[in-house]
Amino acid sequence: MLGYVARRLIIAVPVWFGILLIAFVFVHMLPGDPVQMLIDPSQLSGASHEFLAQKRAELGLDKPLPVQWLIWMRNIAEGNLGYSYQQDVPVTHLISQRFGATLLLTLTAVGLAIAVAVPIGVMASLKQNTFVDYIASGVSMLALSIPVFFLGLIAIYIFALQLNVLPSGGEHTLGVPATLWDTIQHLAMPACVLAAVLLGPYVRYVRQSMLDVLRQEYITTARAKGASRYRVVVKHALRNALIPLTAVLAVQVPALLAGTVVIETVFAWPGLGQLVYQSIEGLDYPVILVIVMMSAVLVLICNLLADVLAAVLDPRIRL
Amino acid sequence: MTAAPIESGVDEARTPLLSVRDLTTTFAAGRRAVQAVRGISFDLYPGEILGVVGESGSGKSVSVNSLMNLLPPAPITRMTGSVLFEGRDLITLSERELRRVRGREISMIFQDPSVSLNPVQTVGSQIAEAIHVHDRKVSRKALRDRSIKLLSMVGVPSPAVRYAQFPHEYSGGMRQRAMIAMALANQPKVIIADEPTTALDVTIQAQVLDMLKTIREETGAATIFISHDLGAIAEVADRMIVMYAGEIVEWGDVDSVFAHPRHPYTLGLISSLPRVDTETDELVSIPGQPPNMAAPPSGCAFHPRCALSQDREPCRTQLPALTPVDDGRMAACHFTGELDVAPDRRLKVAGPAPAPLREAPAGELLAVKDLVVRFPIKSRVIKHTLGHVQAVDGVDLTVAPGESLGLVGESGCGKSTTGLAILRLIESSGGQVVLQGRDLTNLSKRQLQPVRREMQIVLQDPYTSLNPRMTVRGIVGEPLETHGVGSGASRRKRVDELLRLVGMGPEHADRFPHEFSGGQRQRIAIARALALDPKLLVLDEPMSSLDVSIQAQIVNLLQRLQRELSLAYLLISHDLSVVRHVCDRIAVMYLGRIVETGTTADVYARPTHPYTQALLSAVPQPDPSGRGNRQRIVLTGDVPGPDKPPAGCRFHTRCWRAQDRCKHDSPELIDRFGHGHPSACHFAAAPGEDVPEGVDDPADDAVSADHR
Amino acid sequence: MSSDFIEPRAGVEAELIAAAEANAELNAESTSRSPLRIAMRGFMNHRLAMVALAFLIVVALLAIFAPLIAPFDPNAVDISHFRQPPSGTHWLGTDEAGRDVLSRLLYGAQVSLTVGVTAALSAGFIGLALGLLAGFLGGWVDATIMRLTEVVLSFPSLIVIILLVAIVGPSIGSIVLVIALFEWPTGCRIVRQVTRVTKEAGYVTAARSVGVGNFRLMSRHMIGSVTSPLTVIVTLLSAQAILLEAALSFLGLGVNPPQASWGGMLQSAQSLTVLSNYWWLWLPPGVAIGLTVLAINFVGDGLRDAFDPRQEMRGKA
Repeated sequence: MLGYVARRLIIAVPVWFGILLIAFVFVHMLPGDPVQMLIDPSQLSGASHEFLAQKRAELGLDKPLPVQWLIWMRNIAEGNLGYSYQQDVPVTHLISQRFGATLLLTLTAVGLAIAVAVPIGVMASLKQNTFVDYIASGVSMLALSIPVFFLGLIAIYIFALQLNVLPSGGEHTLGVPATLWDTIQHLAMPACVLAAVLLGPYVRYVRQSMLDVLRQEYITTARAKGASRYRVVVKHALRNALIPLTAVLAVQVPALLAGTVVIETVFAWPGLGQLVYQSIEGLDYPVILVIVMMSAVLVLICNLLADVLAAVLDPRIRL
Repeated sequence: MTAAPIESGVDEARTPLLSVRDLTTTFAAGRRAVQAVRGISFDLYPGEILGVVGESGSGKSVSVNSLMNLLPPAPITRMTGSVLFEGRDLITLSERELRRVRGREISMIFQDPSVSLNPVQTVGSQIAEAIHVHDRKVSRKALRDRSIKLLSMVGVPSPAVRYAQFPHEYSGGMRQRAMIAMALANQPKVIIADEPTTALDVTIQAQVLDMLKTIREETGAATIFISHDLGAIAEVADRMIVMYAGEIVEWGDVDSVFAHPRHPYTLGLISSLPRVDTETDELVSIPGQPPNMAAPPSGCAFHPRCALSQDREPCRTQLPALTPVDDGRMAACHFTGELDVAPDRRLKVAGPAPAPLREAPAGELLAVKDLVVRFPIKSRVIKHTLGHVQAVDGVDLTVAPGESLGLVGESGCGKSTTGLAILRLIESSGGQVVLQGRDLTNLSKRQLQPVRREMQIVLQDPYTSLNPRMTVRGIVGEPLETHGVGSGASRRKRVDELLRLVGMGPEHADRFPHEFSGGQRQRIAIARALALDPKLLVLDEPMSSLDVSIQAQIVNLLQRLQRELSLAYLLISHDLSVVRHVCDRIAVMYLGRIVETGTTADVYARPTHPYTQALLSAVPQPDPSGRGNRQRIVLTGDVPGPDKPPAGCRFHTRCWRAQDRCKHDSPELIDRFGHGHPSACHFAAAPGEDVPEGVDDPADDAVSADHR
Repeated sequence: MSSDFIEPRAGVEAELIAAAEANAELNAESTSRSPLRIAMRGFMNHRLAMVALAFLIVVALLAIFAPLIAPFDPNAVDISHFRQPPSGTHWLGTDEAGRDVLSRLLYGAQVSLTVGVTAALSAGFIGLALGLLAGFLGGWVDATIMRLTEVVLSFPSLIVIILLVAIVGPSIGSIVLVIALFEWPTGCRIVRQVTRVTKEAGYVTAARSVGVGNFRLMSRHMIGSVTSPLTVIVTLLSAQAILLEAALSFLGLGVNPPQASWGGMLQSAQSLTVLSNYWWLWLPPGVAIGLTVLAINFVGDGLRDAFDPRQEMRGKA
């Protein structure tokens, strides 16, 4: 097992390296000059050209790209992830602030989605081709088709603007000391909307996976033993059916962590997604690069985790 | 069909344990209803083994799975009739009440143990579960003890260790033992075994059949034994039911059914079987295709294929009732009285090999020398090679023009790999394949192209060997197209001709494979193989996925083609009876090596390698009369995996003659007796003979000249 | 390794198969029908999918003939009539620049459908080509292509898509390009998987034994088995692409204003004032996206059911 993990990590190095290189090239291809972004446009007169050059040298942007790449790689190797151009704080500081918010949002949403999707998917598979199944399939299809921002807008319209029961955005009420209840209220809508969107694919996975397992002969064996329906479904079928779901989650969770831009925009949730968006607009190279690097690491870790989990759940898989 | 008066049967005195009346099972398939079981009635008496035989689609599995409502939930099923068991009608019981019967009073053993055990739970916990669900009060420790006891009862070695292992750590035969242990867990009154040996190799099958008999003796449980294999039925059953098209067509005690079948279908089934113990003439196959259950034939479902019926009136319009015939047996045939032919009229007296009808083939068409095929075992992550599986390890073979050689062995012995390597569909790792004097192993793809016209292959599974998206014309014509033989019109003519040659017609040419039954598809595959007029056909288990009656048709077809086209066959098969019937010579393979080879007559009459002897004696024979006095060699243990073959003689781990030297000294394949058939055993001896003195050292054996 | 022995198709499963087979035979009695036609027949019997397909055809026609149907020029600014509620003249009202919402909705369909179809087809094509190569050739080609899919899948795709759009500048073309670049691995992996399975199928072994060359093997035997799953995937990808385009436009990274697109129309609803007071500005485009994507997904499901290998090739491999 440990050997397997080590080998996987070694293999991942070139992949990860490639991702960094591509990201580095992309970032530097962004149109515009990051240094100019630092200055108030109204002050951008001829006099500040010297200042620009000085700033550029300060940030190391005057060197040829390959040199910049090498410097950046060295810094990363030394654990120095750099400073944000825009806010002049360490990138790590900036990201750790936002990461917490995003993690809270996505994990709540994923947890919620699983908690709802598993029972629904199981029910749908047990009552295949009945009313229950059609409703479950219809709802999951709907969840799969509605754009997340549109669902978010509808939720805000109903709960914040019409019913006025939930705040329309933000992580907590400004100017008031943060309380748990306050955070929950703010979290409720974005988390539920994100969960609703995730629900679609999850229900379909669980249902299909259960149908596949229920067709297996060992299910008939269990029934022939006289095991109760609950026992057959939960102990024999569900456990086998959930194994493939772990692989799906492993791919999805890291993508979610970096990919909640849209929902964070709708709900003004101060997470990573918004940071990415702002950084791209402000040409904040170090921040973009670190976020890309971090998500690549996350993808890797989650995939590895999925493999290990699969081996734990399924004794046939040996690592 | 009305309830048949079974009570007039042989066992009037006893009360039946299970009595089935008018059982009908219907599946809703699409908009149509398909009756898989059509009003069957039978009784099961305490302590008996009742065999149920029939081909696929006969409804035998559906009917027994209906007894406890265990049908897969997918299609919508409906059952009518009654299943009386100890005063209760199982059909009307609620799921809850039925659960108390399942596994406790009636238990089941399924066909394929590799899919019947939950892969993520230990075998032990699955056996313990069978006890636990019916008796919650048994403590964990007691559950464990009882499960281990059950495992040791069914002959699983070191049961305490095995208890904690997962199914994938068991071999196939071991898994089926575990399934049996599970079925025995609550001392049931009835055991239903649904094709319990079909997925197993013949030597393992022999172990399981023995065990079923032992269990009946020790527990007194009645057993319903379902099989498509008449041999297995003859081996273990007391009485038997023959099913066709969802109905029971014959019912009686095994001895008399085999001796004097009272239904033309039963007779057909028995006559279409080649025998391992005697020479047989051309097989009497049942013509036509299995019935279409969505629209079964009117009247007697068998009449379109029946030789007795001759399309007479009642057969076409009236469903024959299952009625008693002479000696207390029952048959469902209007003209059962006319059927007084003994089935053994076609059997020749067992004895020395008959004079071959053809001239003994001479010369060498194909010579395989020291063929080695190795598969690398790759690690999952970084693709580096961890080791090798030696699938074929130094095989020598020759096939003369017009001759047929049978290559037999159990699964994993490397016989199919050998076939594929001969055709260079798998690259060999060593040795030579010489066809008509030309070594193929080093030919380039281009150089190989003309050679491909000389030899062709027919694969095992006709369901996957034809491209579902091509018409029959496209499939059969593909070789012609590839080799640029003829043009449009002449190719059309050739395809029509080929189809006629294999017993089909030009009207089939524009259809797609899915419109044909398994037997017909295999005919199409044979037509494709013949397109380029090859000299050699490699037949890779061409009959093993077909029903018995269809198998006989294909065997007859292959024999006719061989005579007409003077083809040479390399028949790869696990079925020793078919090989005896078809082949001139035979080679027996075990774990990548040939252990014995010679003329079919010689090897079957005087096998000298212990593995061959065990293999031959393990084949169940469709002849219950001889089962008392047949000597069976039941091998212990399982075939070791080809990735870690034993050192020395590969068979020594299962061999009763093995001695110390077998463990390290690998025996050579040499003719030790001058019978003209070599075997690879230090202690080779014909059955019943002791190992002759002085033979145990082949170096001293100077009489190993080949007399052929 | 090849298995030497496959058990005869016996047991309940086989009998059920036999029953289904018999049923299929009955249907196919009179005329001979290819598997493709059977699949098409299956699809046409899928009521929901047919309704969805009809809906999509209507949407496509509306988009194509938008210039003829639309009551107003979608970009005609009319400051005197801004944010008018729906009325007899403006069925769906006007937006903040006084443009007719219905007209913009019809023209927006052009963008969504173009992006959806072209992006999915391009992604499908890349996936088909690379997947076939990887699956058929194996070895280092396979390893390289698989690493490539891993790289693409490991990218936080939305971030990189935003990044790329920012680089090449927002336009229909760049959005299509970027989506195709990031959505091909799904198709590639499936095509590779199917190719690998097909490569081991009996009919390919048989063809090889006859001496059929690699090109013909691919074009004649492989493509056929790959097309059905790929069709399903391309269909579902186009739904995905429409959603992505909408999200990008919503973030202001879609097509250039003033060109109308559904996602772009929703952008205005980021303001709470618009959201609470002018429902006709955001509800219609949102519903339009949802229904279109839903319809495509239903069609995809219908196709999958129709192509289901369990129905098509009843033999177990």
